[in-house]
Amino acid sequence: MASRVCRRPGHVLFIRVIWVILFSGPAIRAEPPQQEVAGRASGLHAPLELPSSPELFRAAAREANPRWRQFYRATSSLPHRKRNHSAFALGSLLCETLLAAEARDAQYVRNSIQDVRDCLTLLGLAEALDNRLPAIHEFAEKQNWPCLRFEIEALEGSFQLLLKNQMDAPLTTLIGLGHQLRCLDVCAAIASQDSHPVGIDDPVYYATLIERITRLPASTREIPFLRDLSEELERLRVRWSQVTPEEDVSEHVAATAEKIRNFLNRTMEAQR
Amino acid sequence: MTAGWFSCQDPRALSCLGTVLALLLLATGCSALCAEEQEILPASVSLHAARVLAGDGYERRAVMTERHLPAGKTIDLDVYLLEQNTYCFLLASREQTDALTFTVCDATGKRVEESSYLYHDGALHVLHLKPKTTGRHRLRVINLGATPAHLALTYCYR
Repeated sequence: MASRVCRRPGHVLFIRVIWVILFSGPAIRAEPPQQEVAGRASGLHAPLELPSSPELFRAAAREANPRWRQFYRATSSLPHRKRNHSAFALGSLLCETLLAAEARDAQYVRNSIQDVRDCLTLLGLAEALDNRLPAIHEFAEKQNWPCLRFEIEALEGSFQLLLKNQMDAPLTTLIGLGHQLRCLDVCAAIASQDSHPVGIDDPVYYATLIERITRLPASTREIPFLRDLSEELERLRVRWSQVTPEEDVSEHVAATAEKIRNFLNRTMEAQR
Repeated sequence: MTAGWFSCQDPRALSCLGTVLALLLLATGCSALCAEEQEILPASVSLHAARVLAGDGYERRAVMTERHLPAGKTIDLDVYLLEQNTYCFLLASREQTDALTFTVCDATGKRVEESSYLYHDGALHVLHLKPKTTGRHRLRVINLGATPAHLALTYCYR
């Protein structure tokens, strides 16, 4: 009897704890705080302020009739020893995979994905790709290019989410920048073939990318290749903001293509 | 010799413990369902719409933006549209409210005329448009209702 009296307080406490859990849980979920919603606005829940590569490629294809395979990068972008470079290269490789999808080239998709995997190994995210690899290969084999394009964008989102969870948020920006730069590189190369430029002629586009760099922590912003990128983007922004509507833009297109290509070459070749 | 109340032989205590565990399991299931429903509802709705649109040659972005919109408030979201493409925006709210409305404005703030604006099944707003200019546009969502709305937005393009 005495022992039962002794145990009751613990019993009551346990029941109280359970009821607190029961009633507080749904209440919290019913109205997610603003902070939680804002948090979800990252990763797969991302701002739509810039178009995806396939969108730009689709628009560029309406202006020209590009032979996509001629825009493949001559050299592989990997591997890099430094995580920052690796994240940037990863973004560029994801764009390369999308370029292969435009070219309907299953073999080049496989090659690019292998490079992506090497990059991910350095970032500690290889497992995230392995889960999705069968689907990617199947889409490529079955020539299901719309699904492949969707999967690659979703893949990029999942990498960014994982990096955020690893407290590596700046790397997520670098992936996005690598992707965008490679995409602009392709768009500039297409426009160099006497077609109306898509994306590369808009100062707002460059301003958006500069803003993304500005939002990075100071320690990341000071990385030499990011300082270099920021300066190049600013030069391009100024160049295109001075172009008048009646002006022939072929010279500006050529200069833009050269600047972006040179930047990618020196960044990808460095730090191997 | 009993070490704690888990080994208690009192039938009332055991009965009470059983009830609590049953409630805990029930609550866990309900919470999981609730969370799953909240997460998946807008995505599954837009996914269903995207499948329908895929038949028209549209491709869906893999990302979406999610926002909390208080009653009577307006929110502006930046989107970059290309004049060569045609777009179909999909807006879903967790509350399945018909009090949301949205329009697209260009960089100068001028409203872009939509090709069509549809409202499906009490859950999904669909807006088709072909922009006249390339560049940053502003998507304005207005909550005309008396309750807050959690909205998810994505788009398809072709």
